[in-house]
Amino acid sequence: MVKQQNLKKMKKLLMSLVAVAALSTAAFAGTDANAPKENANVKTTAYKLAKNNTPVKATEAAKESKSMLTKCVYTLNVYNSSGQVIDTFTSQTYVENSCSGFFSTCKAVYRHMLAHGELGI
Amino acid sequence: MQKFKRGSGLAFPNLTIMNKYFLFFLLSLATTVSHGQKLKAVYQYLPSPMATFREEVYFQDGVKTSVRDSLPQPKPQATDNSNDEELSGSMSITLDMGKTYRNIIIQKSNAPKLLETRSLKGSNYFVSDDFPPLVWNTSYTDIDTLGKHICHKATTTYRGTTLVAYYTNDIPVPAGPYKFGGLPGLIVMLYNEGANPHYWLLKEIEYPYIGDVPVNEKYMNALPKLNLESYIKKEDLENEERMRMMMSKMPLIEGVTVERKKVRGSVEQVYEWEKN
Repeated sequence: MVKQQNLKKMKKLLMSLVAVAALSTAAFAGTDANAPKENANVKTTAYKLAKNNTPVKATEAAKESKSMLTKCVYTLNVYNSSGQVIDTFTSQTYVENSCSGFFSTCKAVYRHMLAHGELGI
Repeated sequence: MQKFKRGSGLAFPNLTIMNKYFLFFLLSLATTVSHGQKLKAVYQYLPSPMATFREEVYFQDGVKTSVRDSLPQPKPQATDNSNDEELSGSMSITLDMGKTYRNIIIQKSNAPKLLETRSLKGSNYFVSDDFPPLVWNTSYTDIDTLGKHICHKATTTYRGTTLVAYYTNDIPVPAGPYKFGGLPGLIVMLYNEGANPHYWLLKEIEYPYIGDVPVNEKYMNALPKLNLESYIKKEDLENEERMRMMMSKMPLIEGVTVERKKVRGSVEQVYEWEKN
């Protein structure tokens, strides 16, 4: 019974992730990588979660089945014109396999926002 | 009757006092030798992996002038790493802060305040800083060769961070980059410890230097004046407003949480008025 519920929740999560990926792909189709003030660098923060890990902010579905999921953290570093970091934004989620899909979605979202001046820059 | 032995150290009862005399002698020597001789040193300043700036330092008769370019140095041509970018878990952006000006710092050994120019929202300000005196620990035995200079290590605490400097006795001028100096010789390399280290590396030196200092003090005096505390509060407010706006524009995606972390990426981590 519990297994079935878990399976249902996992299905739900998977569906929502697929929907998010599909939506962002559709939304940013044709926007092109044209962000002039962006520069990729440094670390990739993706690691498999150990069983019974400490609770983190995530959806209920992700919490329930986290032992099978990979935690992905995408960091946006914001610098001022003097080259000093002034803020960081971290986006966090859980996926079944590789984080690369989530990372490319985040990158596409930020590129789109930059290109359209939606980050107030 | 007391016998005098060679090297018995009667003039200097212990090694600590001898060290103090030696340090005092070195400082006096540095001041005497450097008196009247002008120096120009060029540093490479790296506040982060995002940018590198050129900083020129001039020193004569106890007056140090530091001039940092407003624009970063051009980056070397990047190799094609588009595949790596797609796999990377981070991205960096630089805010357009409006027109920026050179950062000029004038430090006079006999004046309690340090004067500098700083840009904010496209305007240039003349800012006065009650600079805390740097008390250097030079008791390290570490010796390193940086470039062609034999360097000695020194450390000090400064506004919530620890500075690590390497200075050379070959150039007995108590100068260094940005607001730093006061060592027996010229600072060759300096960095601060912490999550966001800044690096200064000596690249060129002209000693003695026969040119002029490219600073117009009349222009600086004509700028709107602020003390450092007011300037930093204005800057923090401006940054906070922009970051709040950015946070509000972040897209809401189911299953994804976005968190914001405020960072002070300058060398100065805690100012005097923030301690209480």
